Amino acid sequence: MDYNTIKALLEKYFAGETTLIEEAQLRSYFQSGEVHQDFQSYRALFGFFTQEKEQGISPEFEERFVPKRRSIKRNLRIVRVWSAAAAVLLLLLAGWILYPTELPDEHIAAKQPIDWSQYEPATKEEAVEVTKGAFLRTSKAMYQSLNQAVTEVESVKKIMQWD
Amino acid sequence: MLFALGLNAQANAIDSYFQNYVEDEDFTVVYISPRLFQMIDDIGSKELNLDDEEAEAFVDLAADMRGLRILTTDRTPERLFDEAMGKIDTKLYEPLITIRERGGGRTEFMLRENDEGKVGELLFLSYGDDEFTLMSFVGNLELDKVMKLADEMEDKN
Amino acid sequence: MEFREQIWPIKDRLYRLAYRLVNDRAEAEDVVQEVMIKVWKQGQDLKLIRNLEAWCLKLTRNQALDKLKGGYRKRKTALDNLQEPRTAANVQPDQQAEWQDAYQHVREIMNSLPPDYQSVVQLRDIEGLSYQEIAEALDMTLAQVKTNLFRARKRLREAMEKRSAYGL
Repeated sequence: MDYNTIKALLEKYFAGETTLIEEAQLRSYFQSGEVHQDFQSYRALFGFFTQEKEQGISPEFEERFVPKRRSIKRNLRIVRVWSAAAAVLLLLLAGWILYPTELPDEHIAAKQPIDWSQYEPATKEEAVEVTKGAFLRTSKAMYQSLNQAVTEVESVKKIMQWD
Repeated sequence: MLFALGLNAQANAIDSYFQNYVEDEDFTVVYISPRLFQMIDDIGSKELNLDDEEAEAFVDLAADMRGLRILTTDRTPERLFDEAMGKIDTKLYEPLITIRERGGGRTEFMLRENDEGKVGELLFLSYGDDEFTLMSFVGNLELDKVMKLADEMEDKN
Repeated sequence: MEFREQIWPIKDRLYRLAYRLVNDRAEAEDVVQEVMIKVWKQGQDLKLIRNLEAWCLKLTRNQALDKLKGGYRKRKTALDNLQEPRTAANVQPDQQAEWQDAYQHVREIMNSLPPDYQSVVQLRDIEGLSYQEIAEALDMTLAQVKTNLFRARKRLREAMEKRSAYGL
């Protein structure tokens, strides 16, 4: 990465304005071994961050929970979740798929088709804004529903039945 | 047996149940086509005015989208909401989440499954004091990705 | 079931936060163990927690701070507490010792910061978490996270520049 980019990133970093990606770029730069003279003073700092990430708990830690000779690797279904909220919905979706569904095509009555092209936004920018707004509103509502007391959410009862 | 609608072969709730709203002058109607979603894929995070993580989640979700249809009006929101709910075939559209607002108002999420077992359509119905909104997200969606975007966008607050 | 799949994999992250605060490997492992037991006791209630990792980080931080309050004093880190550091491809072996020295210095600066500053730096610069995740884990508002991070980095910068000025 070139001198000016790094300089700008560093200023941004110490102003507390960098994104995660930019911070990763800085760490990567300082690992590269080709650090400009002017930035030498920060080398240890970013190198420290990189090194610290490598630290981990000792292998012996597991023994606190499972005695060595009984360490069993259980072959459980891996559910990739990054939050409990997603887990709730994933379970629901899985349960939902079990419900019998009919092919949608047969139920949609043939009608005079709507010409949707007349309803498209005039500019690309508008399209992006509308889409962002729609996504944001949808996700906000979903988030809100999951924050509500669990008993208020109809769908969760279905999970309890199915789980 | 494919449902053929000429150029626009996407099955969606608006076409099925709500043509009359589309034709109603009091309704604002917006449609984001597959072509526009394709364009979003090419847009960088800067143009989107989102940070990198949000942009990634956004683009990821947009990639699965085939169409977004939005209908909204400020006329008799609650009555329209009840009417709309009545029209939907719940054998096709499975209710997922209901949110009741404390001051009056309600939001419903419904899903329609596609042949691949994913979400073929996510239907959003909502009414409040002064608006009734219907949104149909058509595509090959994974709720996981919707939630991921939700999580990323939550950071904005 | 959830425990094994969701909690166990984040033990290193919890450990690193604990270690940042208590500065001793054995004590840090104790903290992680205590956190895991608390998590285990939640049982089915685990499903109701929106962000499991943030919650665990929060428990870890509280547990670590309790340990500090309880009279246990932070000890200076012994270099042999560390695992073998990853080397950049083109760093000469003889430079390694020099770097450990430099990193030790950074560690000392970090230790001199208030625990809140250390925690935000740990979760942002080392763990790479978003502001929202950090806010949840440390029970701060987003504004507080940003302020703490800004101030922490300011102090780190000053210390690094001072060190350079002395030609170290």
